[in-house]
Amino acid sequence: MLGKIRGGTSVVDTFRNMYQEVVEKKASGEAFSRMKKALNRMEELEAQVGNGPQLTTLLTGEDLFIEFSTAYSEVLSEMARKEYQSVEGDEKLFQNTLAAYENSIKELEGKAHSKELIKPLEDILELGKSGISYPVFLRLCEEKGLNNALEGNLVVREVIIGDIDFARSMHLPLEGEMNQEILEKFDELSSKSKFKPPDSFEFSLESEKIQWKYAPLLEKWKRTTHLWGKMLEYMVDWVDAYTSFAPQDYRWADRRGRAYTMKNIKRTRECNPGLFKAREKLFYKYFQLSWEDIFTHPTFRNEQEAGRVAYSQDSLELIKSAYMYCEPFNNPPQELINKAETIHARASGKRDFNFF
Amino acid sequence: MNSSESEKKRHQEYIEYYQARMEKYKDNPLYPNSYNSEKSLYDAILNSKDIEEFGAQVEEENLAVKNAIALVKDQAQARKKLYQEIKECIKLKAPLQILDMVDSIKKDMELVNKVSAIENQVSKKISIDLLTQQLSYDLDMLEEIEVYKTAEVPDEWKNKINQEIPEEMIDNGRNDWLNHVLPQAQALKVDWEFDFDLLKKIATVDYCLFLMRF
Repeated sequence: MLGKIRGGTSVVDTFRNMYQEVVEKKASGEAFSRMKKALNRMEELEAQVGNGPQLTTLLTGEDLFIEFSTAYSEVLSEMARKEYQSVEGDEKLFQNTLAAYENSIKELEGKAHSKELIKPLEDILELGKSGISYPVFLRLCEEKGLNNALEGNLVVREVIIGDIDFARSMHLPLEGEMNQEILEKFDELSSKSKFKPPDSFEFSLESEKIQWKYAPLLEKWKRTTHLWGKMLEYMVDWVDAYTSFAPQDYRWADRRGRAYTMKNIKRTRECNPGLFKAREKLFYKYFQLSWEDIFTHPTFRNEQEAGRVAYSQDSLELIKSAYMYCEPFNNPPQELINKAETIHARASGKRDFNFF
Repeated sequence: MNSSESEKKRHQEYIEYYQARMEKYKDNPLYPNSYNSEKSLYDAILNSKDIEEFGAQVEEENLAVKNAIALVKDQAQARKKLYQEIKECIKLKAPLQILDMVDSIKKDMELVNKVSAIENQVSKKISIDLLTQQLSYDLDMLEEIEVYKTAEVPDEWKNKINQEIPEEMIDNGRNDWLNHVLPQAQALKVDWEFDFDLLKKIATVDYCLFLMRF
């Protein structure tokens, strides 16, 4: 199996491809043997546990990624050294460099972001073929920032813009704000950079700092939404459990028979107020938010705008009215039960999905 | 252009190339070592009578390796500063270890191999550290358990709601821990165990601070 490219994707495929690449270049020597040994072990583990998260953990645990990559770097470095020693003068080296860029373009064609990734390579090739010498070529690559562009920085900007668009379309305001800040940092570094685009290392540090700043905000947003989502669910289920449609509803249906279904309904009727109150207490304890606060909270408004609150306006009004009755050992008034039945009949209160 | 003029022109072009490399780092506080090492290369080529003499000096003074070391050092120092600032004590280990050994390096592949080994070793520690994210799921579960345990319900349901369901949740959590979380962690570090003292500290101090950072 060693070195042969198989169908399907596996974390080991990348290493098989790298191995195959150096085999084709007729690699040999001690570092090459270490590559082979590491790949053999990777494939043994792959055969044992299949291609899943467990495989990645095992490969990491046995240091196989690093063993393979270190040996691979040594093999390539030795090859480059030999090639450099064999060429006469830097003009030949120049030609080899340009040929390598041409090959890279071919490899990138048809892949994700190929347009943005190929553009700097084409610019470099155009420059290289303009009749200048190798040192002038190297200097212009530095001055025009073509080396930075090669690191994929142009794609980085496109990717951030894509993330902002995605956040906007999915109504994820904090993610949008965070990525907007990252984009602004990218542009700020670009404007300061002597040779544009910005230094990718500096940008990666700045991005990490911004992501760190937003981490607790995102966590709080997620947990707030989760908590009030549960509270709404308990309240709706409590009122609906008293309706005539409850025995047919999937929320209580039990395959073992009607007696069990009815027991489920009874449990919701009798226990949901207590469960609701316990959750309401935690909601206040964690976020100092009350029941009334839910409906004006930015997380709620956002979920509503996004169409992710699975209750109609009528249902929400019903939930709000039911709150004052939702106490342990209490029942909702008949008027609210009737209203829930009307809403159900119009199917406007039907819950098609549940995000919480 | 005769051969001597051509060599002179080539020499000049390389001087300009090394100048451009040096300029890239000039006045950039992130790259003080890289600027100095690029300046050494630039000074060497500027003061050499030709490319060959420059090549010999680079070899003799190990300037290419020193240049690589300078970049690694600058990046490690920048990462150290960031991780100290944001209190990422596990991520901080890699730049600290790199800075500890980098000045003793003599060969390029030695640099590559040692840096990779450190990054790999620390990346495993980071993976283990990320298991603390489990805490977020655990909080959801603890919240459910608390809701069920404390809910005021009729006597008929007390056993089911206040005891059976929370116990089921605890059993599921224990099974998940023993069958998934622990094996995954121990594949990275055989003797790994959860540090419960640390957990208490996180629960009481750090997590509160984490939520209150905004």
